[in-house]
Amino acid sequence: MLTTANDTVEREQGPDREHLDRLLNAVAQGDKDALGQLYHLTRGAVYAMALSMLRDPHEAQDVTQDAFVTIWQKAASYRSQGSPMAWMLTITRNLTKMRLRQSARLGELTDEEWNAIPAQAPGVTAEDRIVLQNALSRLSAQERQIVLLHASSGLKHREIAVLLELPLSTVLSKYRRALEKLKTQLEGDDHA
Amino acid sequence: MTDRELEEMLAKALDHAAPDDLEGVLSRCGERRGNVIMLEQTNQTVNNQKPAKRSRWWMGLVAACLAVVLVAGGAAGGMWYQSNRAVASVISLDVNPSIELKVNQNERVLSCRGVNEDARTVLAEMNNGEDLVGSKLDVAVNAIVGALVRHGYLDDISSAILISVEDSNADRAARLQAQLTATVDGVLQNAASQAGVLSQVFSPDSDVDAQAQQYGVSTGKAALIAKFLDPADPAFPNDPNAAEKLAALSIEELRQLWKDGTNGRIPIGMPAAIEIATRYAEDTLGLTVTSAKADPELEEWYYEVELGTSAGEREVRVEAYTGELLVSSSPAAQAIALRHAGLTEAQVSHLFTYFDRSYRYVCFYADGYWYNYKFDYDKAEAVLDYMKTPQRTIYGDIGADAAVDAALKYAGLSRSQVSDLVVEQDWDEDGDGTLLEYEVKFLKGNAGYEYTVEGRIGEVLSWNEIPMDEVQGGSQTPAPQTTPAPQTTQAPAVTDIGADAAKAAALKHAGLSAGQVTWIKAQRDYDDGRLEYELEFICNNTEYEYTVLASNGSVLKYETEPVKGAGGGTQTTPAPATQTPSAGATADIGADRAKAAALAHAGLSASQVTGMKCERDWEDDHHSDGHHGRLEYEIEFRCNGYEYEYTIDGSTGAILDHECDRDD
Repeated sequence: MLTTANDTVEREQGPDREHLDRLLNAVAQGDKDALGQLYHLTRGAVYAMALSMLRDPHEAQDVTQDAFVTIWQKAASYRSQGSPMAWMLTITRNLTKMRLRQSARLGELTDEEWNAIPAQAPGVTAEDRIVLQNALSRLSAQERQIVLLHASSGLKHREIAVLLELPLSTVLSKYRRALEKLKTQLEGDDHA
Repeated sequence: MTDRELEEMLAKALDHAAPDDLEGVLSRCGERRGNVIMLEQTNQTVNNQKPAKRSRWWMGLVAACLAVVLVAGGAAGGMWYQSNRAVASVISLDVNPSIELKVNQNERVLSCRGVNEDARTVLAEMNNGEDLVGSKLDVAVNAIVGALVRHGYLDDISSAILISVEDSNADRAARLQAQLTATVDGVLQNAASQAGVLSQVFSPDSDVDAQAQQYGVSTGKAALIAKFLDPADPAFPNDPNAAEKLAALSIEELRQLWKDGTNGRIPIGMPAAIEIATRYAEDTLGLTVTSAKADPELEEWYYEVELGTSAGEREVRVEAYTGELLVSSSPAAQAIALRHAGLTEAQVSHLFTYFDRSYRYVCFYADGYWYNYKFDYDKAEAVLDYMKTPQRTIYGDIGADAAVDAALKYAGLSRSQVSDLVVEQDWDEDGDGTLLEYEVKFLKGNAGYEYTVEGRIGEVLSWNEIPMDEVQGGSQTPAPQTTPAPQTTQAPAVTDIGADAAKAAALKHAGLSAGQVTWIKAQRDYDDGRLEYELEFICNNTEYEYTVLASNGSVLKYETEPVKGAGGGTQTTPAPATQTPSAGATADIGADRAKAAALAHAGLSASQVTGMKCERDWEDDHHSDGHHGRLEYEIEFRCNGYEYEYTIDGSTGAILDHECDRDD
């Protein structure tokens, strides 16, 4: 294992927040090009949020689309302070909650259902498939949310803590445990 | 593999797996869900004069909603057909009863449906709504609102009716909204109803329809509820049953909630509040509840439940979100206290309630006992503490004889052991108000004694050994066998100690030295047949007034007050020699008197209490006017399983703070 125990250094990954801020403000003015840019920069994170909560790739795709429609409708209520990504992910989280309520379906997906992820998306490579399929089925719901959001959104751990209403210490420890689990899965036990 | 590599793999996988359908998103981006154009209330004036112009307020909807023109697009808006049988608009009227009217483009009613049980009851008198079919919309609405008023749904100022117009044609919707609002308004004015009128317009939405179906509410109410479940709202309710709970709320509650914001929480609702209040009245207060009505006060986070009971009206407040009882009204606390004491209101006297910032107290007197109950300030459901103190009489005058008895009992003497008994009633101006006191003087052996007895409860406040000649008709008798520790000793029969000695006595009492003070007055005077010195001096912006007995220099009376006009830093009197405040700069009533004040307040005598503690303390409060603090006495004692704590003003004897808790 190449990592050190303290390798949870915060770094800017994912889209630049000032850029997102400008885009959101443009969307608020009715700029559809800005919405397009926003979509391409953030759809991964929005999808990650939905997927990590719903565990159903089809529904996660639906929620992702709903989220961007809602972002378009609500952009005027966004205030340029704090994190634009957190604002969008809050919308996504709330839409996902509503979806969960409506379907009242909380059961775990089977392996076959997880396998459906790559099959449904033409751009998904074999590596993507392995990462998502092998790893996500092994993580707890919170671990999944934390790792996926950290990887895709560029949010800092403390922002994720706020977004998921969890203590920062929990986010940090779950994040670390989740990464270790994933590495073990992906590299095999001999590396551990 | 590093964390970073792993995260990049994940990010890439998510990016690949995430939908890439901007077209799909953009195709929906003209669409507006709900399309609530306005939600407005018209506030009715109560008077019966010419209807006043009603003030309108607009609910603060998201600006984006207002800015965007309605686009009746896609699959949603399919209620419009070119036929008289086709539904053009759906009008719903919601109070608690929810009634839905479908009308055609000519505003003729096609159907009238009671959505809930309450509505069906109201519509029963109109042949379950059938009578309204074919009539003009405004006629039907008129009839329905009239029926709602007759059924008592719109009596209160806290009630509200919501008019919703669901129509894909925005212009027609707005026109109907205005027209119906005026119609409903008119009916309510005529009925002298004080109910509020709200209205909203929205375009057909299949999600709203589904919600309406699911929760058994009108589409209008469902549209209103949907606004509370705005995913962009930071206060999005965390409750999985949020929609269901919102659906159960009345329009008035929803209106208040909208104004106040949900903060992610949903109130318990009026029926639950009534249930809690009734249970409390019946189980805790032992009343029989005959009627109950709840008024939501959601801005204040509570329901006010008015109960008609066997013992008259009772108001009980219930926390709107937790269902906690907020029994803030004194009658409720009184009822609990009386019930606890096993007494009825008729059996007690002097029933009163008082409170401080944290607690509410109920006091009453019955059968020779003072009862004192302590409650939380705004939650009087449980007795925190209580005290039952024997007391012969209250708030009356115990009389001179009883005062003498009290003094002698305190001294451990009987009437036969003393001579030259004198008792005098005295009204003492204290920091706490006027106190009725008795001065009891007597001789015991060759010593004179003076006792101060509180005039209403008969407690000894203080005592002093005094010169025999101060006791009227004082005569030489043998020394007492048991003598309380002498307070002052002096040579007998000194007529005048002189002004300097009198000044020294006053300074000693004030704890000051001659260099610190500026003398204003030193006058010898006869008062009540006694030679006295009237002394006045200033120190640290405080004026001291002393009356000193010329015969022995004992301080008869003293007073301190701030020097008028002081505080500017300069004053007419010379600056004192020392600027530092000293504890002695303020008059000090002394520990005994402080203890006596506390005991008197508690209605106890020194012999009844144990563990007496008395601490002299300076409470710093830095005023600009030169006052440097306050002398206080912290007094603690126990009696009958209770621990008493008092803070007494050291210069006036006023009770600054007191507490009584069960002694664990």
